Amino acid sequence: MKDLHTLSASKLHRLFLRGDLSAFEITNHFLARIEAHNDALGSFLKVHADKARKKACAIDERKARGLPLGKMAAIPVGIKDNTHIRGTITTCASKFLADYRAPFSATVVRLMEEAGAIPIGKTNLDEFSMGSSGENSAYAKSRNPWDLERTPGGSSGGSAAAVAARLVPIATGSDTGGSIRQPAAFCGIVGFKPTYGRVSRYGLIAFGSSMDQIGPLATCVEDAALMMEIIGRSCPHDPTTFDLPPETYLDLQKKDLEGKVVGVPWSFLHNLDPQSKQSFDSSVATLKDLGATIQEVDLDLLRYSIAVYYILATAEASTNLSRFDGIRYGKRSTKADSVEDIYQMSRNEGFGSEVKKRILLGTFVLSSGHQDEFYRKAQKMRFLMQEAFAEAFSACDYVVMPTSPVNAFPLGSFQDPFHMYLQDMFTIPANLACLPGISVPVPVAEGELPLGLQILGPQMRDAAVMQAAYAFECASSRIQIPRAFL
Amino acid sequence: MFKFTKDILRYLEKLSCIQCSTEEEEELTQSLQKILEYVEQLGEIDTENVPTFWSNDQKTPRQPLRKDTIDNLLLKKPYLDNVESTAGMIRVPPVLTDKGTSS
Repeated sequence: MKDLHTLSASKLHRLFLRGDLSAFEITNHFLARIEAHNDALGSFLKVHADKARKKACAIDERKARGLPLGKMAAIPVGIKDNTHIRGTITTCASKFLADYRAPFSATVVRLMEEAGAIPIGKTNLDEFSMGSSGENSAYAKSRNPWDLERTPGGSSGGSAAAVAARLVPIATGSDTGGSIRQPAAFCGIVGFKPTYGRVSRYGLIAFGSSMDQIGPLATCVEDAALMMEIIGRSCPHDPTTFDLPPETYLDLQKKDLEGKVVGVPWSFLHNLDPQSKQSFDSSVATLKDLGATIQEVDLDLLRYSIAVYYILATAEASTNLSRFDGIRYGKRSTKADSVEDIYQMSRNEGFGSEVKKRILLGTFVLSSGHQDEFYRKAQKMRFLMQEAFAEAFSACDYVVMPTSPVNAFPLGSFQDPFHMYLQDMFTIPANLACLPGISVPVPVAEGELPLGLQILGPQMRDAAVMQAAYAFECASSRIQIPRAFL
Repeated sequence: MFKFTKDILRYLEKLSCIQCSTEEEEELTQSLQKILEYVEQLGEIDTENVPTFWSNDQKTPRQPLRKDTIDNLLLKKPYLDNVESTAGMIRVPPVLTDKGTSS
């Protein structure tokens, strides 16, 4: 089959089960796509071709012998390069971890491998997941397959671009302030951030521990549901995961939203540019056509989200990244000859400028004399935001807003990173309130760049969010493949 | 309005074991000043009697504390493969030098 990259992960799995395709054939096809297109896109930092082929052969053999096969059998998966695969390098797109070999696999990787998935390589990101454009990688800029001069978004830009260009049928991302949902919107695919605690963070290199979540980037909601079905479970190695049985995500039967109430925070959204406004209005009309009742909700407090986020996320980052000292973790400076020099010189040589800035800011807001004014204040604001969402969800089932106020911007267009921070205003609230959120592509005119609709649900209602996204997807036009990557 | 100075930046550099060049210091002082001016808007909301957020709240059932038993989860060798080591221990330069402690 020549064009099997145009098929969804779920479809590939079904064809494999039916005997129409082998795992080896599928894996080889995607490896060839990576070989052909990765130089242009910068999506993969490392490709594990031999391991992937070996794993594919093992799966084909299991099938031939009639042994049980997992729900992701024969599906190649891209793994964001801040998540460990045992025995392979995890760089976090930082020079600091250029040689760091993961001593164990992340729980999500282990679960997917047990389900028969084939990790095919590590995808590019902003260094230590700090960025919204993919430009902060120490190795290569990620590019958007819809327009190579534009950003694929970040920080999971490598995964999003790889899935959108069909270099891999599905990939993982991690989301601390929108790092799954924003690149999904920019690349015209589906990205899901689970409720905080739904997916194990064991084996994910921490950025903002109270907000980080791993989730799927996929070409359709069904595929995102498939990955969540496998990774959405409690883990003894991550005490913040729920002590609850996993939800069922694949029961995507309902193609309408009859009886559901969708909340729209119109007042919070008053500054949308005309194209985003028109697209969002049309998405809301689609939700109404699907049977949902549209209701305004008051979430004005969210206008403080960016300020709260940049205090809390940097505070957590400065703490988390203190372990990268050239001794316990990270490449040691060869110029250092005392312990103190090792710390300082290794960190100077290892970290990029955006990471240094966030560490310094985080150190400041936690430092003596400023902790109450900044850090504690932000924690209180976070509590208020969570309460505001709780009140909103007492009156509605979902809250919707655009995933991003803009579509993919040209690479290098933000000389001042502060202005880029402001673009995350619609994705950050879900992380602060620990909510599940999904970005699904909205229909755009031929030649226009993709945009996303974001659907948020109450904590722990991950499957319900997936269901609403499925209904929306069914009512919208099919997801397109960028012409250059057909 | 809070004034973020180069002296504060140098103090933070010391605390976080990061040293910046003169040009970086110039850029960072301005950039951090701008961010701190932006976050000052949080002062518009009265949070006097508001509790602080704690993600591990009691409303959500989380993993129970695991038993305090030895687990073979983390193997020593793959960890030591990532660092300079001798006889199963991480090698570092001498902490005590002729001039006293290195820090």
